[in-house]
This record gives sequence, structure tokens and C-alpha cells, in this order.
Amino acid sequence: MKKYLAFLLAITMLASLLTGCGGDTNSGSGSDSGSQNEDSPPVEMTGNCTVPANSDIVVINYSDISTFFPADVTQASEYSLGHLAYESLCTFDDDMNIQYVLASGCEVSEDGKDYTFTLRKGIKFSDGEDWNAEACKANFDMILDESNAFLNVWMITDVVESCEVVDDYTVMLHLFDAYAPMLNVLASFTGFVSPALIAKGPEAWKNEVVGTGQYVQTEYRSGESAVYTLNRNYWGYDPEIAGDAVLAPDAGFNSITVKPVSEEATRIAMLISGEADIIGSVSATNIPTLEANGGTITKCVGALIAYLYFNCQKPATSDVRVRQAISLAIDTAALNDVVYGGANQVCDSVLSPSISGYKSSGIIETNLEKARELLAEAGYGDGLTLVAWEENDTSDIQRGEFIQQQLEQIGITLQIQPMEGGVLATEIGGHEPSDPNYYDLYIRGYGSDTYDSDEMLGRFSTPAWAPVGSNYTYYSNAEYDALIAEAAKTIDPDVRNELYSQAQDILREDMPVLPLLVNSYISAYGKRIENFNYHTNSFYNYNDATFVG
Amino acid sequence: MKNITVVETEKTDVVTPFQDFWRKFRKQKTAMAAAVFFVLLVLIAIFCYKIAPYGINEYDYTACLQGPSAAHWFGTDEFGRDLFSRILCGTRISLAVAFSAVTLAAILGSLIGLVCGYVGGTFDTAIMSMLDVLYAFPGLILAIAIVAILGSGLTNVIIAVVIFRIPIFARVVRGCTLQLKNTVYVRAATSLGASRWRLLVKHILPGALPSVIVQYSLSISGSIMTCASLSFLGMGATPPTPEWGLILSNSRIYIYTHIHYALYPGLAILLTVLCFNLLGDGLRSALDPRLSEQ
Repeated sequence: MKKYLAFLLAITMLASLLTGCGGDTNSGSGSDSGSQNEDSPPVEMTGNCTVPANSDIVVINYSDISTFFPADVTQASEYSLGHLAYESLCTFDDDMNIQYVLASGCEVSEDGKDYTFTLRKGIKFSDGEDWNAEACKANFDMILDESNAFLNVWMITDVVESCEVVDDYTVMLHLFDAYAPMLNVLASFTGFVSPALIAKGPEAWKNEVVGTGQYVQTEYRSGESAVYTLNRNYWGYDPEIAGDAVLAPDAGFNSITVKPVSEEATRIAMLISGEADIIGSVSATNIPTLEANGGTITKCVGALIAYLYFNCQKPATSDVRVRQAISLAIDTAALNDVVYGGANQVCDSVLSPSISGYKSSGIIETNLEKARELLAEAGYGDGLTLVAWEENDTSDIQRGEFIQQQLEQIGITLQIQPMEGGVLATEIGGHEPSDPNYYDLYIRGYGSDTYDSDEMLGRFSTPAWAPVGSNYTYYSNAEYDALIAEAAKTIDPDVRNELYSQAQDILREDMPVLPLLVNSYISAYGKRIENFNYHTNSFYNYNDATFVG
Repeated sequence: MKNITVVETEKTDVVTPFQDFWRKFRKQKTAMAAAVFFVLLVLIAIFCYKIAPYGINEYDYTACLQGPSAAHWFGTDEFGRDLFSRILCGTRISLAVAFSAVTLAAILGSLIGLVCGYVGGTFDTAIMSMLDVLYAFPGLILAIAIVAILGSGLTNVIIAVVIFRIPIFARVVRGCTLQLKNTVYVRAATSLGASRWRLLVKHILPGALPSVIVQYSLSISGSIMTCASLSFLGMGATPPTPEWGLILSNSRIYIYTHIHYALYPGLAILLTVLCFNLLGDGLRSALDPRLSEQ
């Protein structure tokens, strides 16, 4: 008997040892990139940067990160982290005008097909590589190489034909055709990676983070945390390199630790206890609690719209009458009041008012009678069961449940399948649109990056079908596609807006998507920080905030 | 013809096993209270839809998140649904899931335990080692793993509970079988030529029954917890099912502002689980031969 016991014990110990090892290798997979910096973040005050060495803050995100690679990021939380370590040729300033970053200027040829960028000199990637024309070309070559199958570069690959090196610090982008919002697209792109990383190949792209940004990713544990340490030699602190775009010497934080916590009550508890300095995704109900406990609220009416996408390739939802019936049954104003405490705005277009080309199509009035008639006409008078996918954030689940109640009134049974954000992103890549196991309805927010209609309306065209683009409706209408293509080439803003106005009319008619609400972002920050706010493009603005300790 | 004389023997109190059990069980006040509560729970589970003052999905956006009042005894949730009605109707779901899962597990587990204990040898070692592997996992983690493979939904929760409860019943019944198969009455039955099946079902199983009943009652409380936990984690019931764990999960973001919302589903789970645990303890004291000898 003793022998058996000893054997069993040995097996158990071995098993626990093995699982222990397994855990380590998994969690550490992404940390190699910055391991050399991990022990000694450069605290010596080089250059002009005077950011206090103890200004280490903890930011709580609601969802986990599935990738950091700029060409693959699709979630808002991934974008916001990407901007810490990466930079693009240009970005948006607070008035949504183009501001140059890695480029110092741009000239556009008369036919609108060639963009000549003068690159900023003296910038280095965090691995020591120089930023120059060759590095820029290497990035574009990688993006334009279709075999890489990146998830989020279609806005560039549809437009840019090639990138040419003119001299050491000048590159020229050749476009297939004139494309008015080219700079908006580049401003919304997360950024350029080191040519050394590009050379390492796709396996390294998934895990390593090497950009020119203000922060360097020094640690990453999947599902736990990502640590961004300030690069005190960042070019933005040096007036000789940055010129007008120079940052204040004390702008930023010594390190930013980002953790995913999907549970709102936990996030709030973490802020109140001082464990976190900034928490995102606060619902309106909890604002009084946070303010009473020393938190400060910051809001931003973003360009993020909550959409209800109809999968136009599934039998029931391919019928326009079903789509219209559902749209007529959902009372979006009540949704705003019940679930969001009235903090958001009801949509009157598929675009939010901050996007160029926006036209109000009027708020859809709830009309249950008509909705029932339309359903009966479509042959679903006796009821219909639909499957909806959504993210499993608490307020997202409530939004789904509200829609479920609204649709029940017209005899539609909605089955809701909430999923974790990362899982959802993977699932969407893994199905044919007409797969019976795929969603009929998809309820999710979408935030504009370019603030241009070409993105926000273009994403309902056929070439933008998910997972290549973000057309989760799988709507396909030749007339609509033609309008979008035409508008993209049109430089005259009035003609462009007219084309987009027609496109919005088609969407209202065919209803492949029902815009629900323009979301407000609500975040809260604790006592160690002052003046924290959002950028207009709804990313956190760490540079204008002050650390008070 | 011989005269048959009927000899009157001295009258003795013949105590049936049930009477014996009842006598012992009645003495325990907490177990009796739990039993009364249990009967109440079963009645609620049967008649919940008849006695609930509101429909479970009857929303009223003008009465969202109200505290307890005469109209809404437990207050309302974020959609203005009556929490009292939802929690009442949740009783049926929790009890149905727990009873169906544990009954299935008890039947399958007992069968495995009986056969293993009786047959013995390599067969016994092989099967029981496999079950020991399952048994070694913490219950909830195994359930999460199973639901992750099968997908979410109440049916899969039942399957998960069945799988991780089987080893417990198998071990209990196997132990009893090993004890009982060498008793005089079983050997007597064997020598009379009773078939194996008859031996197992008629002679050994009844001896193991008290232990199974105790384990059954304790497993019910565990299964209610598992069901609620899985729903809380978004792996069990889907909205708008009034499952207690799901209600509790929805109430999380209001825990700072509307405490009643989280309090009542939490209390419902607490009281039900407590009831089955106390009931199980009472049954054990009344049924377990080892305890009664002391």
C-alpha cells in the first residue's frame, strides 16, 4: 500500500511541476521584447524630460488584448495601447485637423495620386534602429503584401499601390486613384514598427512591440497586465527634432500599467481602494458612487456608435422587411434611459455628427403595428427565433436584454450569446456569413478612427466584408458600392457630401444596420492624478494630466 | 389431523427502519427546520408561476431599480421587473437542475460502485482510478472545463454536474459493497443460488442506500451552487432566464447604488444551500450506522 501511495505522490508532484512550467511559458510569451529594459528603466534625467520617476500609474481596461501589432489591431482597447508605443506619419490634433508626427510635411500631386512625405529626422525606434525612408518603405511593403493577411490594413491596401524611396528622408506613396481622405487613413493607423522586427517575421509580430512611441512596452502577461515605461529619450521632448510638436518636459508618466478587468464593480473597487488610478467603461449609474469616494469623472462623446448589424446572408435577416420590422420595434430613446441612464445620444444616422459627410436621416419612430405587419408579410407572423452575438461587458449584456424585450413585442425570440471580446474577434474570422451557427444579429459598438465617411459608410460596402473589413452585415449592393467608390475619388467636398448623402439614404432604406446610440465614454480617475481627460479622438490624453502623487 | 395450537408469543415492538429513522431525525431541531423549508421550496418550485405576482419578463421602464415596497416586495431590477417574482420562479430552475443532475449522477454512480465493488480485481482498479482522476479535480473547475467544451446553457450545466458527481457516488457505494458482500446474509443468499444481479440489487444495494441518501442531499446543495456559479460566470443560463446566479451577476454593477438587487438573489442561494446542508447533516445523523452506535 505504501508503495502505491509513494507512486501516487510522485505522479502528483510531477504533474504539478509540469503544469507549473506550462503556466510560465504561456504567460511569458510576450515579454521577451522588452526584457532587457525590465530591470533598469532609465531613470536618469537625460535630455529635457522631467517626468517624476515615481509617477507609475495603473490603468484598468475592460477587455483583454489579443494583439499589439498595428496592422492587426481591431479593438478600441488595442488601439489605445498601440498609441503608447507606436506612431504614424500623422495624427489628429484636438480640433481633428491633421498634425504631422513621423513626417514633417506632405505634398500632394495635382492629380491627387502621389503623396510625397518629408520624414522627421533624428527619430529612433526603441530597439535603436533609425526611422528613415527605408524603414518607412519596409513598413508599407509589409502592409501591402497580401500574403500577410493582416486584419486591419484594408483602408491602406485598397488605396496605396506602392511606396517609393526618394531620398534618405523622403518617401512617395503612389495611389491607385485619387483618394481624398488619405491623410485621415494614415492618421488613424496605429503606427510603424521597427524594420528589425519586420525582418523577424510573423511569429515575432504577434508578441513583440518595437515602435517609435513615447512609451516602451517592458512587460506583458497575457490576461494580466501590460507595462509601458516612459522612453525618456523620446524625440517629442527634444525641440530640435519635434519643432512645434514638442511636448512639455513633464508630459506623461514614468510608467503606465494596463490591466484588463471585465467586471465593473471590481474596477470601481480598485479605483476607490487606490489600486487603480484610471478606470474605463464606467456606467452612468455608478458616477455618484465614484464621486462620493474621491474619484473624478471624465467624459467624451465619442465617435463610437452602438450598432445592431443584421447578417444579410442569413435566411430571415436577408429579408429587408424583417430588418425594417426589427428597426421599428426597438425604442432607442428608452434604451438610452434604461440601460445608460440617459448618458448617450440617440442616433439619427449611421454616422455620428462629428463625422464629415454626416446627414440626419431622422430618428426612427417606434411603430409596433407596422413592425408586426412587415413581419407577417415576410412570412414570420407566427414568430421567429434569431441569434444575437455581443460582448460580455455588463452593460452590453443589459443592452442585449433590452433589445430582447423589445423584439418580444413583435414575436421575435432573441437568443443572446455574450462572448469575451478576444473570443468574439476570433469567432468572427472563423465562419462563413451564411453558416447556420453564425449570428443573425450582431450588437456592438464601432468607433471611427479617420472621422471620415469613407470609413464609416465604406464599411458597409462589399469589399469591406468581415473579417477583412468591418462590414459585419455582409450587405452587398452594387449601387451602394459604386457611390462609395465614386465619393472616395472625389476631391470637391460638396460633391462628396452629396454622394455620401445618397449612400445614407440607401442604408436607411435597405436597413442592413440599425444605429442605436452614439456612446459616451465615461472614465474615472483617482486622487493621484489631476486634469486627466480624453483626446477628441477618444483616446486617453496622458500628456496633459498631472501626477500629484 | 393434528390440532394446530397457536402459541401467543410476547408482543414486542417491531420497529421498521423508517420508524427508526424518523425517531432519530425528529430529535434534531435544525434538521426539522431545514425539512420544513425544503417542503416549502418544493411547493414554491411547483406553484411559482401561479403565485408570482408579476410575470418574470414583465418589464416596466417607469419602475426601474426600485427598492422593496408593498408592490414589489424585493424591489425591481434595471428593467423594472419584479425581483420577488423572478426569484420565486428561479427556485424551479435551481431545484430542477440540481435534482435532475444529482439523481442521474446517483443512479450512474451507484451502478458503477456496485459493479466495481462486487467484481473487484483489475476491472475495479481500472474504473476506480479513472474516477479518482475526475474526483481529484476541484468540482467547479471541472464543471467550467466541461461547459467550456460543450458550450454554455442549462442542459450542459446538468451534464457537467452529472460528470463530476458520479465519482462521489461510485466511491460511497463501492465502499458499502465491499463491506456487505462478505456479510453472512449475502453469503447465505449466494449459497442458495441467487443470481449476481439479484444479490446486487436485492441484498447489497439496500444496505448502501442510507449512505447514498445522505450523499444525495449534500450533493444537491453543491449542485445548486455550481449551477448558480456557472450562470454567474456567464456559462450557464442565458438572459432573460430568472436563474439566481444570473440575477446576481446582473446586479453586480448596482451593488454600490442598489443593494437590494444583489441581496435577495444572494439570500435565496444562501438559504437554499444552507437548507440542503442542514438536511444532509440531519439525515446523516439519523441514517449512518457508525454514528448511531456512538
